[in-house]
Amino acid sequence: MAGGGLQALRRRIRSVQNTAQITRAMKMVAGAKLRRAETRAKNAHDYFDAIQAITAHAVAGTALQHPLLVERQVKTAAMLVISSDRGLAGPYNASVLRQAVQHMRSRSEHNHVVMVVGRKGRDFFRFRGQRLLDEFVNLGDEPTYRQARVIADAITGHYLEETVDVVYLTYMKYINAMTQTPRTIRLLPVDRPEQEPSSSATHYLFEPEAEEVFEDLLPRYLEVIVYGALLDSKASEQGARMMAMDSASKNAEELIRKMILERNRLRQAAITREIAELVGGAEALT
Amino acid sequence: MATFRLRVVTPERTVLDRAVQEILTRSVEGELGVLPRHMPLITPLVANALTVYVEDQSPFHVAVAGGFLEVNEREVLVLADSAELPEDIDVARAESARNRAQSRLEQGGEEVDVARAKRALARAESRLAAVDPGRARGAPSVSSK
Repeated sequence: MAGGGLQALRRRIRSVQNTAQITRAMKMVAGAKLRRAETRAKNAHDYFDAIQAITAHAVAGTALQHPLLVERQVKTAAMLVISSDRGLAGPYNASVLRQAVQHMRSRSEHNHVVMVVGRKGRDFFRFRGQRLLDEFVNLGDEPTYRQARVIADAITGHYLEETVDVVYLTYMKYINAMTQTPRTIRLLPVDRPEQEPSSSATHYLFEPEAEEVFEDLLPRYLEVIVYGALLDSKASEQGARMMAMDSASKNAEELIRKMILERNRLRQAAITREIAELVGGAEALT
Repeated sequence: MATFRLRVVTPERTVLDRAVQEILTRSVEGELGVLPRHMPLITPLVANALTVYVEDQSPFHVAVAGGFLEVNEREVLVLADSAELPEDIDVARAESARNRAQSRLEQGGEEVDVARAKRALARAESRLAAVDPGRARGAPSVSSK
């Protein structure tokens, strides 16, 4: 008569304890990966800023046209959405995907096609019947420059073939382990920055001709932006996962605490009942 | 002597950030020297051993594997695909890369990507030149000033 309820509760406690162990382990793993991803993202920032500055200077310093600079009448817009391959990362994928969908809704006058990085995003858009122009999955925990180049080449290809007239990028900007914000920027055509008032007088010399420099510089600029976004997204993913697993572990602990209390109460009740029965039985004999 | 700020950055990290007197490198147009107060310039670089002249110290090299050079009024910026200081260069690896690229070029044939092999060769040679300026051909020789 050792209580069916008590037995079930004991089983439940063990099960939650096991789950908590897994979430704790996942939190540690995500934390370690986050540190590496964060370092990589930080180290790339200088390069990222530098190429943005160079491109801004170069583009502002010349009236020259280049296919990647030309603003076309927009019929079809492409979204490059960076999501993760794995789940259990809290609101990470949901919030990037929501941002992308909102962006598309706000520009519903265009046709939209989607290029997606990460299995989660791919499954999401597939399920919704969205046409996928390209998909890049299984990038691993440490995105490489080469992967960024493959993606950038695909984008440039579609743009130059005029399959798409404008390309936006949605990714998760990494702020710190607790905070990440989804962000959408325009990749193509490359923005012509406003003339900086201070350096508007700077006139750059291009060697060889500006056209040829652009031929080299603009594709590289795109690669670097994509690379930076991949690194930021990866750091954000690990940060989100760490936070999610941390709160999962905390919730599990709370649950275990409550269940242990309940278990002890039940056990005590069972003991009391047994004593009562024994006493009752002894009385009946005398 | 006047100096200027030189920064060498790669996607992995900032390799160099310091005041220098002069640099010597190679752009797609050929040898290129930059002194303080150079006019603003943007040019693509080819793989080469960039020579850096600094005050009170013998000049040294940085192996740069292609990228861009920007000169503006504040600094000289080298945006490289990769860049290494001599002490970080794996000589054996660079040598084997050079031999591999060379044999691929000599072998020829349809399936050899000549442009790619040439770039690999240039990268390997720039690394070797950065370690030992006398070894690779065409490297700017360094004489102590």
